[in-house]
Amino acid sequence: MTEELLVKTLLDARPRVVAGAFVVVRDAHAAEDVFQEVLLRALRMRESFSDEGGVLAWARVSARNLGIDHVRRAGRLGEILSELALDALDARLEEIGDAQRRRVEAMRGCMEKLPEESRTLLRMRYDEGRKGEELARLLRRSEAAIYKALSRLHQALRKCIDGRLAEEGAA
Amino acid sequence: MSMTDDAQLCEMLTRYVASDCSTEEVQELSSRLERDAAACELLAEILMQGAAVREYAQAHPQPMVSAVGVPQRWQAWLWPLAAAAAVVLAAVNWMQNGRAETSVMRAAEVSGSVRWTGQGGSVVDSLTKDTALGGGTVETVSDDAAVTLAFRDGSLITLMAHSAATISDDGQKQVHLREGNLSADVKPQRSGRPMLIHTTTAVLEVLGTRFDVESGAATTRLNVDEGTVRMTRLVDGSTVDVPAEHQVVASLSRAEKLGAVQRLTPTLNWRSDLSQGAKGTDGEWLPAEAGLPARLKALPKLVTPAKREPVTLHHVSVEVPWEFLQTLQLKPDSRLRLRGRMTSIAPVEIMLNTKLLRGGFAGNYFVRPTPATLNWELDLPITEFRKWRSDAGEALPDGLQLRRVVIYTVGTDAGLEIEQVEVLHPASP
Repeated sequence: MTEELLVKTLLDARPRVVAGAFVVVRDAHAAEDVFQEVLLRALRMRESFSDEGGVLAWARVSARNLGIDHVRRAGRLGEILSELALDALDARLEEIGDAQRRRVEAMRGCMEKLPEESRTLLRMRYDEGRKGEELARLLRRSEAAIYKALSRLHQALRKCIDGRLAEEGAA
Repeated sequence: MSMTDDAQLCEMLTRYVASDCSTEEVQELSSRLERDAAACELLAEILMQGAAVREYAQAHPQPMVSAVGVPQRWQAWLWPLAAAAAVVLAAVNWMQNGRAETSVMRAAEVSGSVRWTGQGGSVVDSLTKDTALGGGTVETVSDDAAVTLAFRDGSLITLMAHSAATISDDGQKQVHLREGNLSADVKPQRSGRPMLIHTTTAVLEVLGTRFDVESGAATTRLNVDEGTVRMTRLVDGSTVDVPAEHQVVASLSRAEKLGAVQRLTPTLNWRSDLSQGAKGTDGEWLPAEAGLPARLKALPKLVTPAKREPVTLHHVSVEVPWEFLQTLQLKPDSRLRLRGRMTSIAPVEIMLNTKLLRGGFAGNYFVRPTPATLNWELDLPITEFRKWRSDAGEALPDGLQLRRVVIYTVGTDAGLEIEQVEVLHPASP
């Protein structure tokens, strides 16, 4: 497999590989670091790959294992999902495939429709990486209320995305 | 707890993604995900939405809206104020549509690989000296990286190795230090508009002073050289005014009293203890096994120096612990002792990342020995280290503080592993 094809294959699969690492490490920067490491290791092992399917399967497994190493080093091994649960999620992510990109695109419009306060909460949680206790203190709400609000936003966004994709499909 | 409906499941998954679930809850989620495809679909959706929010935030940059650092009596007004600010910002954006980003500072000094992400998400991977900058995020990417940013009023902030901070100045300077080390020399700020430094555990209010702050996931250490800095611990809102020559540590523990203490006399000896785990290190931590002690295995890292081709380093690094208040000082007769192994003989580059004793980046100093055997111990006089990677470089001045030791091979993967890093001084026991 050429170096160019290897890099292109992995860069195209970046969201998928990063998602697989993120669900283990649950830190966006750490997940990106895992992806970079997967890319470097793949380049070192380039001769062992014969096709794109093989390299992608290897990258998914490697990203998960590197994520687990990261969590183990932090002494938080008991806080991640079981291997079987991660396998089940992996299978689901595989099924979703390219449809995920369409959902991300549809979500942009849904974000615009949210009240400013909701957008800010989502930004603080997912972009700034703030967690429940800190959000609760900053926004003067209980931690339970923060997670309830985030959960409702996820459900509302899901509904909005489904609606937009259905409209696009009908058009 | 049993998960009886989607709302409950969604909430628990949201907390899992934030690492806010107990071990029992994670086990319960695992068992649900193993047998329920719909639950997997929901988790995939939450992951996708989180990633999409990050993409959206990068495409629609805004100053971080948070009540951190705002006195508590103002916090109830935060949302109306934030909404009003959003309207004003929107108006300003509308009026400035098409204009270049206004610069609020410049890169006064840059070394190593420094990444800048400006408003609008533009990314500069190798920031260069004298670049004018608006608000944005700066990251010192490589081990030897450091950057000093100069605001228009002459205030300086310096970030060094593996630090990341988002900086804005809309009349009030704000720095969100995500991780790492920041030193500042702040000119007097307008009354009521102190510079605010946000870390994961504390907020610092600065009116004009010189200080040094280190931030980790659960701890912030502040070391004040001149003037006074007010620190507010986020976990309970307790505050302390830290005067000159004093330091304080803010953690996530409410039980620890937040109090400033006078700067301690530095220590001259230190030995790493890798048997305790990987905290403060880079590299793959390997536990003691088969007669070998716990050690760090070098991992590859792609570094892109300014105006040069990318290079792969196989590196490990060990940080001198900073959560404790005592610093490690290097004297001319100090020695660095390293114990390691390799699978093939290759030159090993060793970098000492240093600060001034009172805080502030003091430079990186290098030496490049080639071990004679595969299992080796190097005993290096501190006087052999040079500011650049050649003998002609400036030697290490007396009395600097050692922060981190980085050991790597350039290009070659020589199977480098490090077992112990030690600093010794003859005058000490």
